[in-house]
Amino acid sequence: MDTIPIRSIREIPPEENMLSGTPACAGCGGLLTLRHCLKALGEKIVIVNAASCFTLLSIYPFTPFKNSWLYTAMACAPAGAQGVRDALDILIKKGKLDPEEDLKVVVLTGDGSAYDMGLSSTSGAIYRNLDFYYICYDNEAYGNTGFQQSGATPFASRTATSPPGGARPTGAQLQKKDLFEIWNSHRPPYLATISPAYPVDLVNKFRKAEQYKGPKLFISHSSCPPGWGFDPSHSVSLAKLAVETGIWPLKESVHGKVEHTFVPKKFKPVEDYLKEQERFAHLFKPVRQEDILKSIQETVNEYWRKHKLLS
Amino acid sequence: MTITLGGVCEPGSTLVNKTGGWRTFRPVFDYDKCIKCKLCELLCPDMSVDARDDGFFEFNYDFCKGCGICANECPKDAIEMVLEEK
Repeated sequence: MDTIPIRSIREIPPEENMLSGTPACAGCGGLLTLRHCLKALGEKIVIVNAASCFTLLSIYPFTPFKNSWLYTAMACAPAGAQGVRDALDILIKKGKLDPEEDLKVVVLTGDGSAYDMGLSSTSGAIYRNLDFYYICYDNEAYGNTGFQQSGATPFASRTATSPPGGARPTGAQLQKKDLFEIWNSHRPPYLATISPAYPVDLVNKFRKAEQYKGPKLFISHSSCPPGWGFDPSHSVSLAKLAVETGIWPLKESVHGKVEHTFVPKKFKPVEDYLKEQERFAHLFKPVRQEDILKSIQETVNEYWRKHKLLS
Repeated sequence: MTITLGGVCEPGSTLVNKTGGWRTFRPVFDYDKCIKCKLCELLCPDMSVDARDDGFFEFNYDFCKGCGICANECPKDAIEMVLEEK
C-alpha cells in the first residue's frame, strides 16, 4: 500500500488551511512549515497546541485556522491529544459522529515542549500507540520568551541564557539532543524530519504517513530570523543550506527503520551555514575559534559516516 | 468587537488584522521576467501571494509583512523590494 510520491511543487495541494493576518514574525520558517503541513493534512483536523510561539496564532477572538484548536500547557499536548482522540472515538462508537466526519488529531509544539518538558507525555503517547500526528517546529531555543537555551540548542549557539564571553567564549556548552533517535527508539509507525525549503519532500512524507495508524511524528527545521539573527529574506535559503551542509538531515523512519530521503551529492562546509547567523558570530569575530568550528564540522561528518553516506 | 457566546473564534478571523502595516520594503513584480514558477507563492509564510487567472501572481499588500523571501528565492530576479513610502 504505497502512495505515489509527487514530484513537483505544482502537485502540492493548492488549498490553504491557514489564513493571513497571523501575528508571527516576518519570515518565520516555522509558520511556513506549518502552512505546508496543513496543506498536506487537509481541513479535517484538530490541532492540540502546547504553549509555544504558535500559541500566539490563536488569541481570542482571532484564529488563522479553519479547524478547531485546543491549547494545553507545555508538557501535556500529547495527553490532550489522547483526550480528543478518545472523545472522537466514543462519539463514533455511539453513532453520534459519522465516521466520515472523523478528525485527525495533530499535536503542534515548539522544541522546548518536544525536547524538554513534553518528552515524557510524548513517550507515553507513542508507547500507547495513540493515533495522532506530532509536528515539532524546531527553532533550537525557547524563541517565544526571548531565545533561552533549550534541549534543542546546538553546541556553540548564543542564546539569552548562554551568552558567549568571559570564561565561556563558545556560547552553549551542550550538544543538541537527538530527538529523532529518542522517538525512534519507541519504534513508532512513522517518524520523519522535514524542512520548509523542501515542500515536495514534506508533502510526500505526510502522504506516506497517512496510511499508518498510530503515532506519526515530524520534526521540522524552523529558521527563526529574530532569534538566530539573520535577514528574514534568508529564511528559506538558510533552511536549504542546513540540509546541504548536512547539519539537518532529511530522513524518515518506518517502524524504526531509518532511511535518508535526500542526501546532498557534495556536502557544503558547515561554516557556510554558521556564518550566516548572528548566534554563531562569536565563532568568527573578534577571534576565529578554529577548534570549535572544526568540532562542529566533525560532529556532522561523524553522523554521515555512521550512516555510511560519507566516506 | 463583541464577545461571542462561549468565546467562539470564527475560522480565519485573523483576516481583520492587516499585518501589511509592519512592512518596511514592499515586493514588486516585474511581469516581463516572471516565468510563473510558483515559488514565491509556495514559500510565502503569510499566504500573501495570490494566483491570478492569467497564471501570474500578485501580492496582497494587506498582509505582506515584507520579509523578502519571495524576492530572495525568485530564480529570475523578477521581484524587487522597494522602500515603502507613505
